[in-house]
Order: sequence, then C-alpha cells, then structure tokens
Amino acid sequence: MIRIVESKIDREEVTQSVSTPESGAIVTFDGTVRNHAREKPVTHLHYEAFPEMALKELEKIRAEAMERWPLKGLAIVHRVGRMEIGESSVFIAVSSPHRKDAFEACRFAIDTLKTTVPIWKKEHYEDGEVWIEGYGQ
Amino acid sequence: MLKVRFFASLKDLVGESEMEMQLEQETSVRKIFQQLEARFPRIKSYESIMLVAVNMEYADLDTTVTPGDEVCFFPPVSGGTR
Repeated sequence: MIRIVESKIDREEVTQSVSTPESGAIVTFDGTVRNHAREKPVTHLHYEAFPEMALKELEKIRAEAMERWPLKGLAIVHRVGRMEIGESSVFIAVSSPHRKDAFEACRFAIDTLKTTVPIWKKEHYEDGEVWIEGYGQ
Repeated sequence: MLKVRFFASLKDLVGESEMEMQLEQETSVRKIFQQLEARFPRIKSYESIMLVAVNMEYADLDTTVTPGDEVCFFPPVSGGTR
C-alpha cells in the first residue's frame, strides 16, 4: 500500500496491509504533528505534495527496501492538507520474519522519504506561517 | 511548448503553480531557469538549493529538455530532524 491521502490515516488498515503468516514482526513509524518547533508554539500544519511524483518516489523506496532486506511487506501512507496537533502525517508499516530487518527497513524508509519524496510542510503559528524546507538530496 | 510547475515556497514566490513557456528546440534546464529568473528575479536565491524534476524524474540544471516536457522546480523536501 503506497498512498497519498487527504483524510485521516487509518493506522490499523496500513498495519494490517503488511501482515502475513510468515511475518514475526511488524514495525511501524507514526509521524505526528508536534505542538512546537524552534521554541515556538505550532497551531497546525499544512502539507503539500507533488502527488504524481511523490507516489513514484514512495514506490522507489518500497522497491529498494524490499530488495535490501528480506521483508514480507512495506506500506507507506502520507497525508496532505491541514493537520492538527497529534494527528499522523505519515505512517509506515514494515513486516519481516525477524524484527531486526523490519526495524532497519522502517528507519530507511522514513529517512529516505524525508529527503527524496516531494512533500513540503508549512508550519502555522499564532502570528504567521513558514514553509519548512530541508536540504535536498 | 514546455510546461513548468512550481511547488511550496517557490510557487508562492512565482505567484502561480504552473505556466507554459515557448520552446521550439531542445535546451537545458539552466536556460529555462535563466528565462524564469529574468521574470522573477527572487528565484535566483533558490538556484543552489532547489530540486529540479523533468517528467517527474530528478534532474539538474544541465539536463536537456525538449518541447512537450514538464519541468518542475521545488525547494528541498520537508527534511525533519532525525
């Protein structure tokens, strides 16, 4: 399951999508909206994607992870639009026969996503808003 | 013709998310960017940090573009502290 969605992420559905009888571990990463950034209170976030290319890049991450580790499944769902404090902006689930591979692949997936998938975050504060932009590839 | 798209802060800076540019023969992304810079001088500050995609694949300023291609300019993606 590789998706960009505009509504709340169904974490249970994403987790279930990688469940197989051969899996001894499912590792998940839940990226949630934090109420502060750079010592400033954040009221909410807005994520914008280049959806067609983002899906392609997410598929590349899955393909590379499935190649590097003996996984049974890998799902990534990223939400776009407005998100409130505590809500999930991205959810990743990875299954494998043994936990070490699922942990490593999950870490790889989120770290790679943050540098290659064209999705941008705008932080909103009481007194304004700022695009948060990383450092690229 | 060439389709050019902008995202996030670059979209805000240019004031539109996409535009069409005249293109009769192949050129480089750099040439396209220089034409844009003439219209939107403030995008110059993005030259060394922005990402470029041609037809939805990462590219760079030296990549060749031909009529009908889609060129996208965007800021580095959201990053995040590990």
